[in-house]
Amino acid sequence: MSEASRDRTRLAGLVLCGIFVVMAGRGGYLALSHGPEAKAVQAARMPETVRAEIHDRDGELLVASVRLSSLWVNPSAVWNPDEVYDGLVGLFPDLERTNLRARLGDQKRQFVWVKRQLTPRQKESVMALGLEGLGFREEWGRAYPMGALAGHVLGQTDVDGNGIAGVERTLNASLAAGKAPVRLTIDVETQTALELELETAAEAFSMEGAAAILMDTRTGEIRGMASWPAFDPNRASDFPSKHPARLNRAIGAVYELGSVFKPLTVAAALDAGAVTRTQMFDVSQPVLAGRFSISDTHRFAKSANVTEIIVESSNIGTVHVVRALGVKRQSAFLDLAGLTRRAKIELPGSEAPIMPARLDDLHSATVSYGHGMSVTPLAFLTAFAALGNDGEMVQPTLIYDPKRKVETERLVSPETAAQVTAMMRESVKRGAGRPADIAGYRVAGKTGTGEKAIAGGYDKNANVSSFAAVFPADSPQFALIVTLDNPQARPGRGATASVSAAPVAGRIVERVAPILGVAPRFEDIRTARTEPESRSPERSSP
Amino acid sequence: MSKRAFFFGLLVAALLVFSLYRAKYGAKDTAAELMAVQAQIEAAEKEKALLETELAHMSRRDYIEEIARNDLGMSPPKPDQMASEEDLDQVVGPPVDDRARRTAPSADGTSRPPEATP
Repeated sequence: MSEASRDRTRLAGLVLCGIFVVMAGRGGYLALSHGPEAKAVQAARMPETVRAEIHDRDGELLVASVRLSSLWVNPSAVWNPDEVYDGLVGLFPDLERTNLRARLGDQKRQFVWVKRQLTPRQKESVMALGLEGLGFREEWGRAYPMGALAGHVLGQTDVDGNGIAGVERTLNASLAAGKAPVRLTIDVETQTALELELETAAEAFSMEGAAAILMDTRTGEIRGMASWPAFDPNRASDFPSKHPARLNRAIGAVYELGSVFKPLTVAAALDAGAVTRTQMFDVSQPVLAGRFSISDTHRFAKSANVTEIIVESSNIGTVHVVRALGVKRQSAFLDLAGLTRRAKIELPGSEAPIMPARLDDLHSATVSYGHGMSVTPLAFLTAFAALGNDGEMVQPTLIYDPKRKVETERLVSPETAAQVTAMMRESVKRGAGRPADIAGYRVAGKTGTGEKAIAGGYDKNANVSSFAAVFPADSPQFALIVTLDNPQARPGRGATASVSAAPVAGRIVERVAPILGVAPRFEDIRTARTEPESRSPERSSP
Repeated sequence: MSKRAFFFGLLVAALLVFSLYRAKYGAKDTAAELMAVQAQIEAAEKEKALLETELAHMSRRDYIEEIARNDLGMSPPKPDQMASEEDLDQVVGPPVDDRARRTAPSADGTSRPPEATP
């Protein structure tokens, strides 16, 4: 090979090497760098964090995240601010007018929010206006497809998607992380039954408010929690912050619940060995406590055992029982039952109880039958449900978790719980709780009517009527409380719990028992069917 | 090196350049296709979420109950409308021996043997 040929070969080799170097460089750059299209693909693949859904225990959708349009305006593109202002205010009368008018007239601005999270219909109405300078930005919003159902439990978010009430607030972090749907312990069927029955009671009794809770006595799972007036989170802006519908009366209001406390007092005394089931107490005369005389609404006997005291709802008898128990043991029992603290639940706003400053003889007596001490319906039900769980209390919960280990705390012995449940069954069979005696479902419960506490005393013309129960009495699975705030007497009938809260509770049990898998017992139905005349007429007693 | 080898090298280089750019534009097309599919998936997911929300809205029990009550005359079951298996005897009477009934003489005095069961 000549020298010239060798040079040409070297040159060609160099050129080829250069080409390969360039190609390798470019290939490497393309492989390692993220071009705009690669970034777009990456962005497309990167899922947007969407606030998690909330379901009921059976997977029914309660809260969803949906795309909503928010309306904005570019004032610099608006030729006639007055026309735009009039159009928008005509469509949305609740707009903050002064600010909007000023901002629309500010030609230096290029972006002003007008209204966040419009419904599709509102968006169509805005588009139909054909105004200049308007635009829409898509945002994630929360929708509550069941409307007001469980509105107090679910709560709401603000326009930026932060939970500000209910479980939306309590579980804000996990919901915002966009993980799997959160499942609640409530079920739509039971919740609907509670709310419909409270709504019906509200129409019948023109009351100020009401609450109902149904809880599984063995697991503490809340199967339904209702508060009336209802609150629809979809229309949260319709309810100002002090609106009565915003209050969840099941956890956020305290009441003197009255005689529903008596079974707890009797349970405490029986369990402590302070009284026995067959012991007789003089109920013929009022008892003195401090400078007050405590009496019964009706005379029924000279002496009575604890079963009759429960059945007849005797204040006198209950005071005798609590005196046998003693203030110290009563106080310890109330503390153990959790009635001296806020009830724990996965909701914000659980109200603290109002206790007497000192549990002296007078207050010990009144607290024994549910007066002089105010608690939330949930706090009471947590303690009361122990009677339907062999004497063990469980922590109520709203979060469904089949793997949750149920922690229990013994309140009374299983024998005491069974005895007091049997007494309450008697109360429903032949006492003031009869309207709740739904044939077949063996309801064991107690009515309670308390004068409504107001600043400086009691309102003699207003009461709080309650009915607390466990069912079925022979093997309790569920505990229920219904509390009606100031039900109005109907013509010919009073407004005591016997004629207000107890029938509501009965209707609830009748509706929810089949849903909850509680089978009616046929013998009871037959007896009720064949012997309707054996029942004595209803009475208005506490 | 021969001229042939030189041109062969150039051809290989040209093919490589072409392949690289083809691959690049292929990747671009695939990315665009992927984005379009991704957008379709997102749109479908949004639509599904909306439909599920609408379904939940239409499944409101109070709404269904109103229709059931007013249009169909239905109401929640009463305890005496339910019976467990062991209560059936008392509700509908004791079970009838179907086999005996079929072999029993009919009104015209004839009797029919029970059918063979598999």
